Amino acid sequence: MATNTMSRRWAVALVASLLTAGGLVAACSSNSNPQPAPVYQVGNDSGTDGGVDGTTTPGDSGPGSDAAETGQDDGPQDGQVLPDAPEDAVACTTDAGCWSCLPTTTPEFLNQCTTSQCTPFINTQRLPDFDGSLPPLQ
Amino acid sequence: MLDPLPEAQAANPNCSSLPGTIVYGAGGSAQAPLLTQIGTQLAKISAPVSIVYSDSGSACAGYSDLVTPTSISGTALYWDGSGSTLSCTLDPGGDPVTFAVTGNGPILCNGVGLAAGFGQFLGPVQPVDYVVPASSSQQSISTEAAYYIWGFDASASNLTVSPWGTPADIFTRSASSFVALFVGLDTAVPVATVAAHGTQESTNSATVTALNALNGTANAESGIGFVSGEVADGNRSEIKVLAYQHTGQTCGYWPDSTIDAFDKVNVRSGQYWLWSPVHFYAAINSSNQITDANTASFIGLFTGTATPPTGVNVFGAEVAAYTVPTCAMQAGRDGDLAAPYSYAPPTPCSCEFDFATNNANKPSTCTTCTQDSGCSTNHCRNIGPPLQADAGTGNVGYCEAY
Repeated sequence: MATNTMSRRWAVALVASLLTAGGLVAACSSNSNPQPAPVYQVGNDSGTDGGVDGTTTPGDSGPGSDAAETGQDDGPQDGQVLPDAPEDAVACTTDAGCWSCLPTTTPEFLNQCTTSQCTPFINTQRLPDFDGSLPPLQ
Repeated sequence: MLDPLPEAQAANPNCSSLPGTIVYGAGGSAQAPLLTQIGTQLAKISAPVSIVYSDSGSACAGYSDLVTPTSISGTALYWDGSGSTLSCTLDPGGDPVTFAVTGNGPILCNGVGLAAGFGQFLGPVQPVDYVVPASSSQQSISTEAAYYIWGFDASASNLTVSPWGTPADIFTRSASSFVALFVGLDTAVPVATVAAHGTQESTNSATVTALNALNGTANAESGIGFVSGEVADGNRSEIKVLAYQHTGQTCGYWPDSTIDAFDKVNVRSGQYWLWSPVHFYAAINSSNQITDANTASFIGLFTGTATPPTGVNVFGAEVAAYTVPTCAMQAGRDGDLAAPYSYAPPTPCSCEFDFATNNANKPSTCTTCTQDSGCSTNHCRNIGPPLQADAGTGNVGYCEAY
């Protein structure tokens, strides 16, 4: 499917941009930043134009569909874009740790390569006695 | 319901006397900006439509008003074409609600899902934002920090996230409000606990007012709350949207590409976790069609099943309300905070949205055009009056990816 082609284009472009941005991404993932946290720019030249190209065939509805929703559907949704084959996790994960291919899982969505600025919230520095687990609610 | 003072009520027009077709709805305050935008446009057209909206301060109360069904009484909001939000007096015997608006699905309201005989229709996408007073120096928050704040309400030093250590300056909403339901769902703190921890405000706007009152005081740093992105973005001089770092992320992201932008880049891509389509509800027949014709025409503006009357620009209303038209989304989800999936809208408007929101990092292929051959993508779409004055007076389109 065309989405893989687009993903490869993203990956090629990302290699170049992340060579320069990688340090910043690493800083963004650091746990040693002082507070208030700095703002970082994570490099990516893929823009915001979506992960599809002209040969993708979206469905005729999806979010915003005019059909009343009556329940959940475990199968692919109308308009949902899937890669032809599972993405190569190694090839899609940049040295900076961001996901450069079409995201299909929640971690991939959350950690996409992006041109957006970000600012970390360092749980281990800001939360009392935080060790990765949360205290039970009282 | 809103219970006005008698003298205020006497000054309001009767809702049933408003011009043109009247459509009655109910719901929370999170979507008031979107209703303001579309209600203002509809009031100005040659065959005006008056949207009358009971903002009871709770998404689930509005949903209940529709499906119970309950006639709304007291006062309601309406728009007269000037852009101002006005109040009118409902009939003493009450007026029937024919649509409801929420940010969440019905399961979060009642635990059982959509009521029989009613349909759910999805509109543009909106984020939920954690916000602080505009003068606060804070920049970000994590899921875990929100768990502490609304799970414990700074009740003990070992359960306090600095600088949010003053319970009175932590703001919350009722357990039937969309934004409180989402914070509870996001953090796994029961919504009743979220609603019980902090100073409870009645509406999104009331939360903004409360946080704004802390600007210029010694408590500006300790103020925090949560509101819909629609309300947050319309009040950025008073409140600051925090970057949000969801569990599994190592950096917090704003809904937009920067703290100052309005491009909703991270909502559109799914990188910002807290977002949901605007949910409309209405009675339907066995063919899943909305039974009330006027309500169908209104909701159809957002779903694309109704042709906008001359003078109504739905895209413009959605952008002006700081929501994201579905055609500009690259992520979809099927349920409240459900796992996202990559989404390709049938007719994209991502480039047009980038222009409308001045996205500084829009793709190089995203340019204005007048015909397909003017685009490297060969897809010149959404040709119409230019979004920006400096584009001239002739109609232009936008080079979309497909």
